[in-house]
Amino acid sequence: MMDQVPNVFSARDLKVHFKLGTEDSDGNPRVVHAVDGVSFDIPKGTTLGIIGESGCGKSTTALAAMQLLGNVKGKMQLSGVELSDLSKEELRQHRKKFQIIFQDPYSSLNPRQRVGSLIRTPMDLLDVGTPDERDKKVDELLELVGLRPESRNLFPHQFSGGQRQRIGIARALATSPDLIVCDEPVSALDVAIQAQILNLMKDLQDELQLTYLFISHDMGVVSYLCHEVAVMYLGVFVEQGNSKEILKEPLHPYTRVLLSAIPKIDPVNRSLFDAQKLAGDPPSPINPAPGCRFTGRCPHAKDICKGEMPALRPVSVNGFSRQIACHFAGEI
Amino acid sequence: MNDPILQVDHLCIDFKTKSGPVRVLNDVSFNLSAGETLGIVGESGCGKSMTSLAVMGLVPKPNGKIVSGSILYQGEDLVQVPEKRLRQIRGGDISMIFQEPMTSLNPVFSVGKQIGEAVRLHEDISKKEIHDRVIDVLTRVGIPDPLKRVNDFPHQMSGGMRQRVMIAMALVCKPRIIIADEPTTALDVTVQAQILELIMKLQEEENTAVILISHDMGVISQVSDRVLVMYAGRMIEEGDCVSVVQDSAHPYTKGLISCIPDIDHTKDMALSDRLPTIEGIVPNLKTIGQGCAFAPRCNQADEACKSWKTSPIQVAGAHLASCRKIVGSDI
Repeated sequence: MMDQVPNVFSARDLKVHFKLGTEDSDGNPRVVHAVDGVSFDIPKGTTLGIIGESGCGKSTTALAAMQLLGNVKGKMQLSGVELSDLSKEELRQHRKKFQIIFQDPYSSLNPRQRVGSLIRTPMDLLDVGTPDERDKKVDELLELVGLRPESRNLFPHQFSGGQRQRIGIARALATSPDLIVCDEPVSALDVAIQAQILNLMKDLQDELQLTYLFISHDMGVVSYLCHEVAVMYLGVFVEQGNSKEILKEPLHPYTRVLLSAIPKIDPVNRSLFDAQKLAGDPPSPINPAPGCRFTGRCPHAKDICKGEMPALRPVSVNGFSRQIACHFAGEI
Repeated sequence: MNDPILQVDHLCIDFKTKSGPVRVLNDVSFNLSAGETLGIVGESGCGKSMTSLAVMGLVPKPNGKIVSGSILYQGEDLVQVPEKRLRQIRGGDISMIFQEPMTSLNPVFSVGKQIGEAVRLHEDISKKEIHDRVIDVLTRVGIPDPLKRVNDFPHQMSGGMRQRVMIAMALVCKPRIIIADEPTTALDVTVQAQILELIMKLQEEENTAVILISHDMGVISQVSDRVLVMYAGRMIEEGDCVSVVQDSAHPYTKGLISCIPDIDHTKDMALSDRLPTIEGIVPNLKTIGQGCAFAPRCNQADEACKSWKTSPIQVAGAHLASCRKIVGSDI
């Protein structure tokens, strides 16, 4: 089991709140509860997927893990080091241990930098290896991600979207990080290219024992790539555990709705419009009401759901333990 | 089968570039009947949006040009008609739902004004009547409290609501054909399901014909009656939805479907398994030859494919595919 594998990254009770500087009708300050107390561990060599709809806080969680936000509460550990204990300079040095792959391969590569220089920059900035070693590493990385070494002298615009994402991956790998945060890395790509990049990410994980935090809105992609999944809704995790198990048998009402809303490639059994539907849009994350965040749209909501926010609690299904934040977990 | 209300025949569109004309649409033909949904699917740059722009008479000028072919709407060739007539048809008889509800709406006018504009341009009716029509159409697309929301500006609405406004705008003149170009791509899945259901419901009420353009095979297979698969500006495969999706005949369609991480498929895959892929990338339209456009990436292609002038071949019934391997070696 996973238990023996050390965690590369752990987060405990992560909270990111943004004050809007305005007040509601009762005179309380309006605060966006973007991330509202999430905890997770990612064992070495595995992938944790965070999945949810726009505005649920998944990208904010990624930015918090990358230490790119100033207002994060909670504890984060990377390979045993408590990140909040580090000074600014120590944190900068420590950044070689965690890197990010961005969503948009067009805007995340400097158009005026040659590819070799793009990939080399993190090593230069974080003092990894000697200059000769860095040059050699650039060639190795290009080969690793399936590009020709001659590519180092070209500019990003000379590559297709998929090739650019390969460059982004090579750049993230340059400092040999322990953790790679991937924020929707394939959602801007066409399906044929998406499959190539997903396979590359899996191959690299096997070869280099990489650990990914993978942010996505695509359930199929998460189920393909991730060992564990956390389903996020309005700043909180509602269901968390083994990804195949959860996607095969979702137990939280929100996970169920989310899965039933995916248009399946099955023209004979058109289930999309028979499925349970959510009315309206997600509620605002500004000063959310007490109680379960999903109450207003949940088909099973009862009085207790409005009054009390359910905590994540373990439920065992088919021999796998998962966590569910629902007062009626396992009963509905 | 009903008589088609739209017939696109051998449509070719060239774009002027510094290095000479580039054929972005090559010999595209299809029919559309009232009440029918035609799904057009393909990757970026395959020509699916260009096809819809051509039907709307919106091929970018002066660089884009329809060089041959015809687009017959109820017997009238939209390639030949003067701009004035085209303006009557556009928004009135044929209307379009665009992908990006944020950029397709004007931020400085209320949504009511923008919806009403189509009616004002196409029909000679009073302001009061226009207002009533707008309220009616907002109600039909499921916008709560339409009397109040009619005065809202786009930024006051969520993505799903804005897309409903776009649909209201397309519907308000009761068009015979609606072209929906990636209408749900910018939306979350739960909202996407609502919007697709709405389009289908409204289609049924008015017996409207719908052309649904999408890169998402899931969306296409859930709502289309017939499917047209495009690649590099050409038709690859066409037929009823079940045949094209489940019994794909063209290697590109097969490859495209098998490389999708469809949840029903991936949840039963082991983490060590890999998705099949289509190697290589989409060809450059400038250097593409006369042969099969997919041949360089096709694992079944031989030398003859590279020079075979593609044309649709019957697989079964109305199921066509542009692959010479379909009938064996007799071509």
